[in-house]
Amino acid sequence: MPALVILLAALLALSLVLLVSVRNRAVLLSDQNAANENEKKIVYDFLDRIGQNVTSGADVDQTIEMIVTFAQEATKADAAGLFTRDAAGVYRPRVIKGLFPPLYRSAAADKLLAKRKYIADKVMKETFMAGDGVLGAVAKTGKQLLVADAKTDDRIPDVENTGVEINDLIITPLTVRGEITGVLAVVNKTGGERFNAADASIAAAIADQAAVTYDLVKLYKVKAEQQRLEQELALARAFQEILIPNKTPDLEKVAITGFYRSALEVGGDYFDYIPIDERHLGIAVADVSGKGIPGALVMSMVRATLRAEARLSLSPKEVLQRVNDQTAQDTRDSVFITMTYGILDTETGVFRFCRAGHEPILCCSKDCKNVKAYLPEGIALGLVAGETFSLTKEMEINLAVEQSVVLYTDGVIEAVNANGEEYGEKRFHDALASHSGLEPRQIIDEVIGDIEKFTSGLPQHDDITLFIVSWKPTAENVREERLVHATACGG
Amino acid sequence: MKNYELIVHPVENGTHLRRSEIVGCLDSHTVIEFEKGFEQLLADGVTTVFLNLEKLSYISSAGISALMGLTHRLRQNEGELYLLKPTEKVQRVFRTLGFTNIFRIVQDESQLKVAQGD
Repeated sequence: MPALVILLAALLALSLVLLVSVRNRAVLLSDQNAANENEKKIVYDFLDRIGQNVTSGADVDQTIEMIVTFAQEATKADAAGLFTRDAAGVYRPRVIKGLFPPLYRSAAADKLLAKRKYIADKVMKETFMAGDGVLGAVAKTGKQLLVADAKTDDRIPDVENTGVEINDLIITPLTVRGEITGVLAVVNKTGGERFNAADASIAAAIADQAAVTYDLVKLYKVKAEQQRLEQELALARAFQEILIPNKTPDLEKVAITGFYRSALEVGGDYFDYIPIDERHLGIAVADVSGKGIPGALVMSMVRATLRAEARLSLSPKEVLQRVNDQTAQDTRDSVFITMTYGILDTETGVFRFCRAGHEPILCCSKDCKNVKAYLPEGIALGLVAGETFSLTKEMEINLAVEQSVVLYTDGVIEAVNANGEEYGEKRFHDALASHSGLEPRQIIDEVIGDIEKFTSGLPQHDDITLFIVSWKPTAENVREERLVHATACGG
Repeated sequence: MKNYELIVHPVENGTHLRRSEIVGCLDSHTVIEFEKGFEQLLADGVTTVFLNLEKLSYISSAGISALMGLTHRLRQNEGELYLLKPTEKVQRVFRTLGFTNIFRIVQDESQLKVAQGD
């Protein structure tokens, strides 16, 4: 709506500018004795009509229609037509008033053209290029054409070809910033008169207004589309910001360090920490297949289901099965969500998890040489219900001191450089391993730095989510580890 | 540069089967063209599609969604989508997503003959 107000204001402003130019034109005409008081009145009437039209809230299409109607009335023409050029250079009829002959046809008209309704149909359907026929000639040269006696002018097709007798016509180019955007044609002056220089001058003034109005229509459409996309993007971002936790849980034995950065076109990443009871923390990382608002809506639905189910079970598989059943019911066949959901025992460091089609779960120890990747069987959420989804397997990692679980979304490994190469799993694993001696926060900073170095500042196409859950080297954790032989998960 | 093409081979012996192949990448930009290409086949009553993926260089989540949508629609008419010879990279995407449990993926043409005989 604000765009429309701006557009209407711009139209009014342009009308005022035009008023001055038309006044000057009228004065000039007067000086040249080519116009009389009646012509000036027509021009002022036209500006009044444009002003009323704009202030009464008429849309741009209605305004263009009014312009053509006015052109027909002001020049006392039998018919008038406005043709505009598209991006491919094709001219199409936009508004036709009265019995307008198909001027741009060069081939002989078929017999149907003898009937008026077929003529109107033909004119509205046919297109022309610059250079085709008399309309095309004006579109090509940008020079107004006044033909006072069509019968003696070879450029004008005869009644055999058009189905309508043409006595006289004026064709005026629509020009904006030196570019021809269309043509305005008036045909056959009524009352046995012929078009003259004064009519041509009026037509030129009206075509001026038609040109700027049409230009604004195009601008408005582009702006409106841009605005719609920007609004959608802003809404999706706002939505995502609400859904994603803004701080990590502060736990005695566990350090959780995360990084999240949304892409320009919000990519549908989601992560969450869900306190299940005093001892267990649910951790989820997910990626919705859709982007923008549709993706954010699916994400919000999955989040609500996960949060409700997570508190009812300490089995990640059971939770994901329930989330899947609900999601499969609620989403379209082709929408899916990949998710890793794990439950961390914050007392013992046992991390039980399930992978619903999501990226592998990585594990590395301090100063590890290789990162270990876990890819248990698992199907993305929302696609298959019941039996097939139950193929999803549950796994467990018993975290040792200074050992970490790394969860991420595909935005990390699919970051692309200028050569179109992906950052890839290998670079990612190498970066993790080579910085594994650092604190989790520093590891993340180093890995993100490595990705940024790889992409050299190219725009990010997908959301990037990366977080590390590590077992702190607290005195208690170290003492307990001596008592319990923890499962090693990384070289 | 065009980075996508869907080649659909002529209908075979009056069956409801179509062989086709994708060349290039299937992402959010090319998926619209892909879906349009299959819309006509479905309208023509095709129920079984053999889709060769040997020359599919990249598939995004939008592409996966499109394959999933096509699979569902064919199955509604008791048909099937057979994905033939995906590259290791594409196969890895299918494996990660768990789609090897959903899609009919075949590496050998002879398996298609069995399907054709069904």
